[in-house]
Order: sequence, then structure tokens, then C-alpha cells
Amino acid sequence: MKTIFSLVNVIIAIAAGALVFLGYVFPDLLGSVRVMLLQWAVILAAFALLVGIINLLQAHWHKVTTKQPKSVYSLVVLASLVVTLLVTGLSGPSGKWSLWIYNNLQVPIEISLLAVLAIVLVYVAVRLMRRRMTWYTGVFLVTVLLVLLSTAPLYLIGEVPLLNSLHSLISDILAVAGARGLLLGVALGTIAAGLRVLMGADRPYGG
Amino acid sequence: MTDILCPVCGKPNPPEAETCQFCQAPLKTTAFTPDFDEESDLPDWLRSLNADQSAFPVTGPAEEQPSVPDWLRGMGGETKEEQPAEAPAEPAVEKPDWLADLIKDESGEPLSTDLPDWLSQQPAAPTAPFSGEEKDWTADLFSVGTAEQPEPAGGQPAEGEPPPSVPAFTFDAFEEPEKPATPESEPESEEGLLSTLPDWVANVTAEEAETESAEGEAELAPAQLPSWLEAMRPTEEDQPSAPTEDLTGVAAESSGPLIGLRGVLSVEPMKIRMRRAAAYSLKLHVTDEQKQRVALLEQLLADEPKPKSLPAAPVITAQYIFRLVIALALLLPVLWAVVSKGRLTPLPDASAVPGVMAMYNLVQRLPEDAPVLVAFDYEAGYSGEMDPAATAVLKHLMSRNAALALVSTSATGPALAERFMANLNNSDYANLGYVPGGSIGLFSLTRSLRQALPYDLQGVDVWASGPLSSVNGVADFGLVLVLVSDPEIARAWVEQVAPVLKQGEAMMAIVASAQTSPLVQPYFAGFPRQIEGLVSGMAGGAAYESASAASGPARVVWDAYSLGLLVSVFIILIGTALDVSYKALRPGKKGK
Amino acid sequence: METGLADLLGLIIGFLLTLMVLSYIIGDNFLFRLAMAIFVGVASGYAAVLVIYNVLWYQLIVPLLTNPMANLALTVPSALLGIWLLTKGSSRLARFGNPVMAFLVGVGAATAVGGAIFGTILPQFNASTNLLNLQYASPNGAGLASWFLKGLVILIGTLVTLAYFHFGVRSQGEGSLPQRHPLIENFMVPAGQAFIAVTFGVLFVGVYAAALSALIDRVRFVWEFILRFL
Repeated sequence: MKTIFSLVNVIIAIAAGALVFLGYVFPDLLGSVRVMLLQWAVILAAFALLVGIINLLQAHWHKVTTKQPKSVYSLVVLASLVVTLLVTGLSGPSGKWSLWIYNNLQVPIEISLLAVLAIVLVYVAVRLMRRRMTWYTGVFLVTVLLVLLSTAPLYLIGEVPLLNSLHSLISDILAVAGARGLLLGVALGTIAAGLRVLMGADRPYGG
Repeated sequence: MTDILCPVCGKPNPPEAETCQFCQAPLKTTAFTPDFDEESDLPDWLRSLNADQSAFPVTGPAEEQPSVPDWLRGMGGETKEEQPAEAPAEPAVEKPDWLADLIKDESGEPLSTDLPDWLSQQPAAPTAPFSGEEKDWTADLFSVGTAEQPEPAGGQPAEGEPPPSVPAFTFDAFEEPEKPATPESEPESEEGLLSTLPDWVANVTAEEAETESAEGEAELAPAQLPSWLEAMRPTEEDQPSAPTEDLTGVAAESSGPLIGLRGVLSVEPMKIRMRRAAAYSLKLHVTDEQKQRVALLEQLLADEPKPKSLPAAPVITAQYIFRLVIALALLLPVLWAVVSKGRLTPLPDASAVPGVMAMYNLVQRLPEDAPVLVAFDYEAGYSGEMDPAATAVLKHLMSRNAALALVSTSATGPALAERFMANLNNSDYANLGYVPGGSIGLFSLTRSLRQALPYDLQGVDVWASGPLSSVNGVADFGLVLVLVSDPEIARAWVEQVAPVLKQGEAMMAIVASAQTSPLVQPYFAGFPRQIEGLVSGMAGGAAYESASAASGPARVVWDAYSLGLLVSVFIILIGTALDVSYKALRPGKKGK
Repeated sequence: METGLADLLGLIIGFLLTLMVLSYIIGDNFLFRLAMAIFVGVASGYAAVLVIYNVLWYQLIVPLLTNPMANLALTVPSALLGIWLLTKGSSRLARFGNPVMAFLVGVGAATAVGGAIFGTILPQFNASTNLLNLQYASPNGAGLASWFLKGLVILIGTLVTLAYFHFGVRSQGEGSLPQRHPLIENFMVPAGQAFIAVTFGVLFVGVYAAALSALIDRVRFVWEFILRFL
């Protein structure tokens, strides 16, 4: 029975994927089918987001009810979630109070988190040579210093032509080459992973 | 003299011994003789036993008893008769060699002159250990001293070799030269009983019977023991002591089947008193030391699942202080630049940044009131960078009276868009909301824009009327401007939407965070381009402000930004030098 | 007044939350974790309302109510599948939602594969080959050499960066590591490493620049808040 269910899941995944992919090749024939499948998938993606939030609720609820250590944080999560649900649900996503919660709670926290990252990154760059002293680490560090100097005109000094040329060399030539190679590599990897799913070799859906 | 076989252990004892020297069992029947003469109380069978004194006959030559089985009695006679006849001839049944060696000839002489002296000096007639017909013929087989050794397989043992060991049993009956005459009936009975037995068995039994009958007539000469065996004879000093149990004072049984016997377990125990079994307490007696050990064990078991608390790491360490110093070194200059509100650092030249100029020209070429799709796909945390970067571009678009349609593939995007537009004090836009599914949503957007976003965030059908009424698909937009902070989202927009735009007149441009622009640059730098404009981070926004000659948020923070970058360079240089020097000067801590 | 009070309250809350998060510079503490818990709850709550409001209501229920026959093929199957997918929220019933997940994964995989091929692989290969295409050179021929050199460097850099990854490397047998041609192993791979190191350096600066912008924004916010009450 389990094998039959697994096989059914694989067939569904392959069939859906094949119809969508073949729509690239036969747009006139499979165009409308593909559009319908995509619209279903968009709605289902919204339901999937709801499932994720439900799981989050369950996990934190379980922590609170079983009185696990540090469950006070889970209690705060639940409280803030419920309050936000109520306020935003009544006000609407673009309502005044919804935006008040978003602007005064979520935005300051997110920006502050990124601000802390700045100090951490500088500290990491300082410790880099102590941890790994290799030639490509040296290339990395030299690149960092040069790009930092050339990203913006120097304070009180302004633009330095040499630095601008270096910035152009690094960002527009060397980094583009490396980034293109990375993009192609990522795209090839995406194709490989996608084809494995479409052939049934990988079953991340639990089949 | 013939040794007496112990009735209990079966080992030979000297004839004069009263008790077995091995197991101390009495050898004489007198030990078991009832103490009383009256026989009236005895059952008949026991009375007859007492009269016969034959429970364990110990001495006396074998007498012909009427109770001896015929087959046993007959064996002796037959043997005697048959012996002379059989001796010179081979027996009918093939006998093993060792058995043949044991059989003497009819003259009774030793079989072989090569036998050792002790063996050749065997008495002519072995004495039966028991008298009477009750003699167990098998007991004769186990008598020692008169046994004739079988010849070794290799003949006479060589000189110097130890003599062959005495077998555990011997066929004494074979050596008995004088056998009492057996009754005529015995051979007959023997024939009838032993007709199926092999001859050697018959010879054995026959010689036994002869031995039994001969003993009754004449005393047997004592055996001549070899010297080594004589040496083994226990001396008087080694004589076993009398049995520990003195039964003389023990009362004989007066009832039951063992009536008259002494020293037996009483059938009707009179001395065994029935008494109540001792009541033992069920309470476990535990000593104090055991209690302590149990408590210790319980404590150990209770502590087993509990993780051991790690020793608290020191809060103030050199690395902690170093990190604080770095933080202060970065924060203080930035704070100073913010507080001073200086505008000492010039904005970057837009012409030196290809992507900025392309974007500017792109927006500049847009027709008036062109519908523009703006995607707010950056996280709120990047507002500090993206707001200054995108403000100039959006202001430029607004100056071109573009019909803005806002969309997002991020759940917090619509709120971010509202906040952004509120900061611009602009309300002339349509917030189409959230498109779930990432790449799937974008693909659906390109295939069915109106089905994917039928209403805006307020529930208004923006497609029915207004500036967006002429838009049926993404390709109908004049520009698709993507504000993005994540490289993956940027790639999804380029992969899914840009190819569709190419089919029409629409173009795509990206305002990317500084962390995203290196990976988006190949899309802009290629021929043909997949994106027509690229503004990268705060520097790109500042350059765009420079190009549009408009003051914006980038100008406000530009000094702090520039100073922050410069200070970072010095912190990294000096900090790396200090750190590497510290490591070089302290090699001892390398392993830690 | 109400708006003013709400704005002031919002400012105070934003200020406190900023300080709570920035306290992480000193070390992990209770205030920082409290701020994280608030953030998780608020973000989840807003996302849930947005999804229900913007997607499920306006894209599923309203079309079904306003024009059911026209939207039947879209709304009913997606609604049923969506309810079926909700079983994934229960640990006991989670496996019953696997067919719907399979559908989603299949569609997503096909979309990703198609986008990778038609959106990145083909255009980027095209762009790489066109680097040395004179058609895209400067019309007046100015800087042709530098343009050619630039194109060559980008092309070589792209190739060696791809060579650094282990595509198409065959194993020589059981237990042996994949072996590549010495030209690749000794020249192309180190060169690819160098280009990747440069690219990662630029990326690092980009991340730092974004974080520095956020730090400047927060410092400015705190300063202006203090100024407001001084």
C-alpha cells in the first residue's frame, strides 16, 4: 500500500512537471493547461505558507504547554502573533494599524539586525588571516580592501582616478567573470536537481 | 586367602577385615543380624533371610545352595566338564585373544611360562568371595589377585618395562581347576539356558559353579600376592578405624519393613518432633552501610540523564574586548558623521557608473503616463540601503508621471511598498499585493497577469479602468523595475519575466542591494543585455541622485557612508596586523 | 492627536527595540532574544493575514462568488487541493498531503528548469560568446584592444570558474578520487579559484556596505530620537 501511494506521488510530480515544461516547447498545444496548473500552484503556495505558520504555532504552543526551558520566548511569539493577527485582520494589510505594527516593530528590528552584522563582518575580516592564511585568502582580503576604498569617494578627499580604475577592473571585469561562472554553475545545478525531480529520482515531497 | 569384596563399594578387603577399608561398610553379616531371637514378630520373608544369613554372605566357600539359579549352578559344572574337552581344541565360538589368554588349560597350569611370577603364582582355585549359591557370578569377574593377565599385544613385555596393569576385573572362574561336580541336570539345564550364549560366557559361568562347589569341600589356599602388592597392604597401623557409628547401643527397628535392623532411618520417626516451622520475617534486613550504598546508587541513576553543567566560560576575554574595540572604532566615526551632518564628501559621478546612466536614460526615454510595474522584493532590513538607492529612481519615475503598479513576491513586500510610498508622499499608485510561490508566481504572472492579480490590496479592480486598463500582460508595461536585495529573487525575475518582456517593447531594470549587484552584473554586462539598467546599493543611489541633480536620502548619509567605508579599511588593516603579530608572538597557544 | 500619540508610541517602541537588538554587540542576552521573539510573531502574523486577505479571499473566494462559472476551473480544484494540503499541518495526517506536495514540487521543478535554461544558460552563453563579437564593439573602433582584452579576460574567467566546479569528472575506479587532466587541475582550477576569490571579495564588500547602511540608519534614528526629547 505504501508503495502504491509512493508511486502515485511520483506519477503526479512527473506528470505536472512534464506538462509545465512541455509548455515551453508546445506553447499552443499546452499553453492553457500550463496556465491552469500554474494558477493552481500559486494558490497552493499560499496554502503552503499558511501550513508553515500553523506549524510554527503548534511548535511554540507545545513548548509553552509542556513548560520547556525558555518557553517564555515562545509565549512572546504566540502573543505577538495573535495581536498582529487581530490588528491586521481587522485593519487590513494596508490599513493604518497594520502599517503601524509593521513600521514600528518589524522594520526597526530587521534593520538593527543588519546593523549588528556590520560589526560582525569587520571583526570576521580582521580574524580572517589568523584563521586561514592561504594565497586565495590573501587575494580575497586584498580585493576587499581595494573595493572598500573604491566603492565611494574617499572621505574629505573625493574620487581618486586610480581607485576608480581599480574598481572598474575588479567589479566590471574580474567579478563579472567569476559571477557569470557562478551563475552558470548554479543554473546547471538547478537543471540537474530539477531533472532528478522530474524523473522521480529525488522525491522531496515524501514519496 | 581370598579377599572379601565389599557389598557397598565392591572393593576387595582382607578376609579378616570386618569393615571395608575404603567405605567403612560392614563386611560381616553379623552387623545386620537382628538383635532378638524371637522371630515371631518378623515376617516370613525376613525370617528366612535371617536364618540364611545370606543377605550379604561374606565368607565361606561357595556352597551349593538350593536357591542358586539352575542356570548359574549349571554353568560351573559345565565348565568343569567341558574344560578338558575344550581346552585342547579351539572353542566353537571365536574368542577374543585376550579372553583366550585368560583361559587356563585343563591341567590348570599357567597358560604361559612367560608370564611374570606374580601372575604365574596364582592360586589354582580362585576363592569365591561369597559362599553359597547366592554368589554373584559377576562378583567373581571383579576379583583381584587371582586374575591372570592377558598377554600384551606385543608378547612378553621387555625387560625394564613396567608390567602390564592389572585389569579391573578378571575371570577368576577360568582359573579354577577344581570344580565341584555339577549335577547331571545342570548341563542339561545349561544346555537349555545357555544354548544361545557364546561359549566363552558359558565357560565363565561353568567355572564359577565349579568354584562354588569346590570351596565347600576344601579350603582354598591363600593367594600369593606379588611383592608390590604386598607392599600396598595396609599395616595394622593403617587399618581403617572402626566405623564412626557405633550401632551397638542403637535400638533396632521394631516395626516396619526394616524391623530388626540397626542404624537405619526410622520409618516411624519417634524422635522427629513435629514442630511448627519457624516464622521468618519478610522484612529485609538492611544494614546502615547498605542503605548508604543504595542511596548512592539511586543518586547516580537519577543524575545519569542530566547533562553535566559545563563550566561557565569567562565573559570578559581578550577576543571580547577586541570585538568591543572594533565596534567602538566603527560606531564613533559614524556617529560623529551623523551628528555633524556634514556634506563634505562629493557624490559619485554617474557617468562613471554604466548601470546608473543606463537606468537614467531608460527612465528618461519612457513615455508619459507609461505603466510601470515596480516590484518591492527586498527585506525591511535593507531599507537603510534600498530606500536611498531607490528613492531617486522612483522620484524620477514619478516626475515622468508613470502609472505605478506595485507588486511583491515577498510576504512583507506590500507593507514595505506602502511605507516607501508614504515616505515619498505619493498616493498615486496601485498596490497589487502579494504573489506567492516565488518562481511559480512570477511565471504565472507572465502568463496570466490579470488572473494572478485580479484586485489590488484594497480590493479594487484596477484592470477595469484607469491607467492599467491597457495592460493585459507584463509585456505591456513600459518598464519593470525590480527592487531586490536577494540574488536568488533577482535571478528568478530575470529568468522568468525578462524573456517575456523581450517579446514586446518592455524592458527590465534592477535596483539591487550592494550584496546582490555582483551577481546581477552579468545580466547587465552581456550582449544582448537581459536587464537594461542597474543601480547598485547606496553608491548607485547616490550616483543617480547626482545624475538627476536631486537631493535625496543618499546625500544625507553619504558622508557617514564614505567615512564608514574608510574607517573599515583601517580597522581591517590594523586589526589584521595586530592579530597576526599576536599569533606569531604567542606560538604556545597554537594547539588550543 | 491620536495619530500623534500613536506615532510617538511607535517611535518609543522602535527605539527600545533598536537598543534591544543592538545590545547583541555586548553579547547574547534576554532582551535580544525577546526582540527576536516579537519579530517572529509579528512577521508571521502579518504574512498570514496577507495571504488570507490578498490571495485566498480575492483570488479564490471572490471570483467564485462573483463569477462562479467562469472561474470554476480555477477556484474549485485549487480550493479542494488547498484544503487537502492543510493536512500537512497535522503530524498524524501529514502523509496524506504528499500528493499535493508532489504536484507543487513537480510544477516548481519544471519552472526552475525552464527558467534556468531559457533565462540563464542560453542568454549567458550567448553573452559570453558575444564578448569577442565585433558587432558589439564600439562603433568607431575606439578602445578596440581594451574591449577585446576585456572580453577575453571575462571569457577565460568564466571558463576557469566553471572548471573549478566538478562537473563531468569521472572516477577512475572504486576508492579512487576523481582525476582530471593536469591542464585543468594545475592551471585552470587555481585560476578559477582566483576569480572566485575576487568575486567573493566583491560580494563581501557588498554585504558589508548594505550592513553599514543599516548601521548608519539606526545610529541616525537613535540620535534623532534623543534629539527629539532633549
